[in-house]
Amino acid sequence: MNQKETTQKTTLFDLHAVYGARFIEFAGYLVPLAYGTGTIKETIVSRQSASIFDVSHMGQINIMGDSASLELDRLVPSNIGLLKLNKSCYSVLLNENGGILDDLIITKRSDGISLVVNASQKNKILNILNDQLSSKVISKVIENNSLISIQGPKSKEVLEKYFKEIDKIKFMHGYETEYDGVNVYISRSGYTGEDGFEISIPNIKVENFIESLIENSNVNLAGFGARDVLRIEAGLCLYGQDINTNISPIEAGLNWLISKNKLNDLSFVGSEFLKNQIELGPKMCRVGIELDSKVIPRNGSKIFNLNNKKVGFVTSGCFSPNLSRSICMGYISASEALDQEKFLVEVRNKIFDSKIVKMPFIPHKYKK
Amino acid sequence: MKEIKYTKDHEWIKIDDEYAYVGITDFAQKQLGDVVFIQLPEIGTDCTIGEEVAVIESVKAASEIYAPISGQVLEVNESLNDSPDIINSDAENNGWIWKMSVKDSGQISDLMDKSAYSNFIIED
Repeated sequence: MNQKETTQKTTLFDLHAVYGARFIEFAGYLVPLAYGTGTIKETIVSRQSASIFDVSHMGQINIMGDSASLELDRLVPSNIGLLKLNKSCYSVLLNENGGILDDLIITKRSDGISLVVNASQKNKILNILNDQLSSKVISKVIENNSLISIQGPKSKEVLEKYFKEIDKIKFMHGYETEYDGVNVYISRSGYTGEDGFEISIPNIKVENFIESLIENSNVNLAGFGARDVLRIEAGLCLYGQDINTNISPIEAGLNWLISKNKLNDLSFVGSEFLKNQIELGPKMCRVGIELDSKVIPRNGSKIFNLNNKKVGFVTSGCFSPNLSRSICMGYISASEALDQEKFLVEVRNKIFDSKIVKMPFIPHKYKK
Repeated sequence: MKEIKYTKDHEWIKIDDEYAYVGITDFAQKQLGDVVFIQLPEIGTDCTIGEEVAVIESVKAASEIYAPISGQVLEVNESLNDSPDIINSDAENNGWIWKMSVKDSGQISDLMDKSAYSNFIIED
């Protein structure tokens, strides 16, 4: 197989290969799809024990300067001014029409703000920041740190060996500490719905850290196949698939991240559109769907009501090894979604019974 | 006459005079990743060479499986309904997908033998 020359590799590429990874291209990076044991086992281990994900492809951006919080506040619906030191929040960057430019994690740090953004949107976000923020702050992509995610019920126990204080932080909190003489930043967060941690660690130490971690039999490497299944089970959106510039956070069911005060004050980009959309009601909404058949509806599958009228489309789907059935999420016309729960999904020109179910498909187990 | 042949779409076909078993190769299985569901054909379906007969859903994607030769579906491997992972663990034996009749034995000689297929996947 020929790889495009522009394809990038993370620092851990060689380690992934040694542990039997099969690679796929994702957002311009060559990332592990699965290791020797395969996606299904990796998914189950993540919910029963702990898994390590190399998510270094994601963009880590620091915004340095005293006014960083205040200035970023104009660009996102969340109240960044109220974020306490080392506290994180999930948010979105919007355009004037309320469309989502990216979803991201924002953390208040001692010297400013740090962001974790999608790999595919890294340059776009940096351009927006440079364009919209004043010269009093400096936005910079952190190239020399890897980002490691350890997810699952045993992640705390696995990491306590290295970081004694780790259980003192709660979900969406973090702290700066040391690993083998280098500074690392740990936050209790993730993309699986499980208790878990994300660690930003210098590239020079990341291989050594992972090699040490996997000596523990409670933790295994897991690839992007498992990561995708886990985040669908947890009802979480993937940018570019479940959310994009044509979808608003209201339609995506992300109302909870919008600050009511900021919406009333119309103090962020896209706020007028969102306020209007909340008053009128969105035309479509994101829903979770479950099937009786094991057939998998994937991005683009059509959704019909029982009168065979097309009422929506699927954005992500998978077979859930933890639930032993096929699940998907997508958008359904809001009036239809209110009226009924049974729908039909088309896969390869065949129609399958399905019903709307509450998301997350598997309850979150965050340590709040 | 018992022989195994291979297609460019990574199916194998084990021919035993009047009928044949069809499945996907071990190479194909590795490319797909964990198999979670197989859409089996209906018994009695007439299929023409190159036509889609079954679909394999893996964690990664859905892949169509084509008829390596023309004939009629005589039997399907029901055990794949409960254990689709047989495709991953034993693709070229117990992972057979359907059994079919052989309409035109001439079509068989156009398929690759083991060594031709081995060379094909190296070049692919």
